[in-house]
Amino acid sequence: MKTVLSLENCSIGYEKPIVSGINATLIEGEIAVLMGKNGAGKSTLLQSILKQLSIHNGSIYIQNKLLQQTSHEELSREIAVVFSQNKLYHSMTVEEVVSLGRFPYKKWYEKLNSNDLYTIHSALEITNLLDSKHKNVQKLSDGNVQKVFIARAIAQQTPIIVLDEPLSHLDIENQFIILSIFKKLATQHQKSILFTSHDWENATTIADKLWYIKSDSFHSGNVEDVALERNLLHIDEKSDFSFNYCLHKYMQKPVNEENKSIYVLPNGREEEAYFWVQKALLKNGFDIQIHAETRIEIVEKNTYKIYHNHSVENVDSIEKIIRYLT
Amino acid sequence: MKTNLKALLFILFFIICGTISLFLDKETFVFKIPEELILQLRFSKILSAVFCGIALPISGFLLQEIFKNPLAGPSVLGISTSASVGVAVFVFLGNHIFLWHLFSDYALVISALSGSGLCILLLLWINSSLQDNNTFIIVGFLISALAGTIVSFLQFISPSETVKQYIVWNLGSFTGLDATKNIIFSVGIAIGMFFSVLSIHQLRANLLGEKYAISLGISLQKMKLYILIATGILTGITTAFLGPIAFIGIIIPHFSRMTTKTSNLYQQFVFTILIGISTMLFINVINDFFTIPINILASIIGVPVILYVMLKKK
Repeated sequence: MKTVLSLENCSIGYEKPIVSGINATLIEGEIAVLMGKNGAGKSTLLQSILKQLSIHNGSIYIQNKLLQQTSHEELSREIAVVFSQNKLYHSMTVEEVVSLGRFPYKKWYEKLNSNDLYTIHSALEITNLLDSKHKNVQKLSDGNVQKVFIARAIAQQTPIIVLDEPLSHLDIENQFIILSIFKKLATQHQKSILFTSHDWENATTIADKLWYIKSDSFHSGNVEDVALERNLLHIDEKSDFSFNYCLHKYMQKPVNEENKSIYVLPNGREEEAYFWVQKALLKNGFDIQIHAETRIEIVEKNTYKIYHNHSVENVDSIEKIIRYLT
Repeated sequence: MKTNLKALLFILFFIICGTISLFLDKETFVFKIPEELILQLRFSKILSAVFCGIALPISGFLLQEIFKNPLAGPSVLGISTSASVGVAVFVFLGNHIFLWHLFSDYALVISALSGSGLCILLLLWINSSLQDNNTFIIVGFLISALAGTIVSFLQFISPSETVKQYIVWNLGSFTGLDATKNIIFSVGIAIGMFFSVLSIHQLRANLLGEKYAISLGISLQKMKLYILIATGILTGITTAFLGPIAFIGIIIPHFSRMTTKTSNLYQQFVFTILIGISTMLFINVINDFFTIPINILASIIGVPVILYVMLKKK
């Protein structure tokens, strides 16, 4: 396996280093997600890799060549980038934006040749934009604009693609479209992809590797190992929210009153109802405990039995369960 | 309408304007070939209008592209005002310098170019320590304001005849350029155009913003250097010979964008030149008949257009 990007003992930051001791690698065909709080230094690290910001210490290697010795011109054939803020000053069509990806291969007097046009065509094909190639980018939805800029990066034909917050501002459907484009690029085209994200759940569904900045230090490795070792899902003790490992969701912390503990009997046939009932209970301050006296049985969707104070109550909606219990 | 046809129309328009200026007799309204001396004068005036129509719009076009700001122009960054300071120093203090009158043709150009050159050196020095384009434009405003103050001060301490001379220059004029001046002018335009063409390729990478430009392998410093040299020479030399002509540098690139509706910068560049020449030759025709100073004509046309563009943007 070929290493395309490696960082050795790097310190990054503007005037002062904000994260030190960064050691990480990215290999061919691998997807890495870079995570960390707002202001942790994710974008700073990306800028350092793109040589748009100099590093304080250590060394970065692109295809085994030291970044400091690589010119921006050479770098433009190694790394393509999609930034988080994409504004256009001129009205441009999808095709025009994507064709800018060919810029590093053209002298000022050269026009796009058939090879370039083929590359642009296939970039549009991968991102499913062939039908809208003559549309004005400013009139597209956020999800499609993101796809246009990803297509532009693909057209740059670099082994590495770096993206800053490609999933933010997108609805869940578009997030999965973008993620499947990443997967396709990594598996079918052997691209190495590094992107930043806040959404651990969606990002880690496809990422092979996690680069994680937590309180000035950097960790990298297999997604799940790092997550387990570094309490990835843990947020501040003082927060009213915590991660519920049953429901795979961040939830409000339960209020610890004895009469508020409750148990929902699992029902294999009604998984969906089981999920939403528990979610509603947690949201309303109930604690879900196996030894609780109050129990809820899910007979089927919209038919629930509440066992409470030695009596049974039949209700037909989650709203009524909550109303009965409070 | 096809782009080539539009281009052809503009060329036709400026040929008509040029022909009117050259051959139309102002009293009898008949086309005839005038005396050689008058023909020379008229030709020189047309040449000035053409140079002005190339230089200022191109400066505006480059600055608007680099700053991604439709209101950027040579006057906004203080380049033309600084050139005015150079000219003011020449007009007000020139007589006190020994043997100055012997090379006054060149001295005027040299003083205007040193004004704009100084401004550009200052901008370049600031550029290396500033990343933010908006701050850069504010600095340009400050330079412009300071230059204006210097000119006012020079006017204050000078005798009234020279002040009048300066005010006349300040109103802008296409007349009064002899062959030597025209040759200097054309050399300046050629050098400015050379750097403009160099920078367009780099501006293409800048279409999506400066961060993308770097990631496409462009050196921002070099791009800005080329553009500042180009605009410095083009604006400096035009200001020296014709006066500080306002608005043209801002509005013509707008017209070009509205006409071409393309992100193809080479095409926009060509159209900026074509529309620039057409507009200046049109203003020249009006100037032939009514002898209203260029700057007043440019403002009468320019201000409503800028207002319209601003309101339409909202």
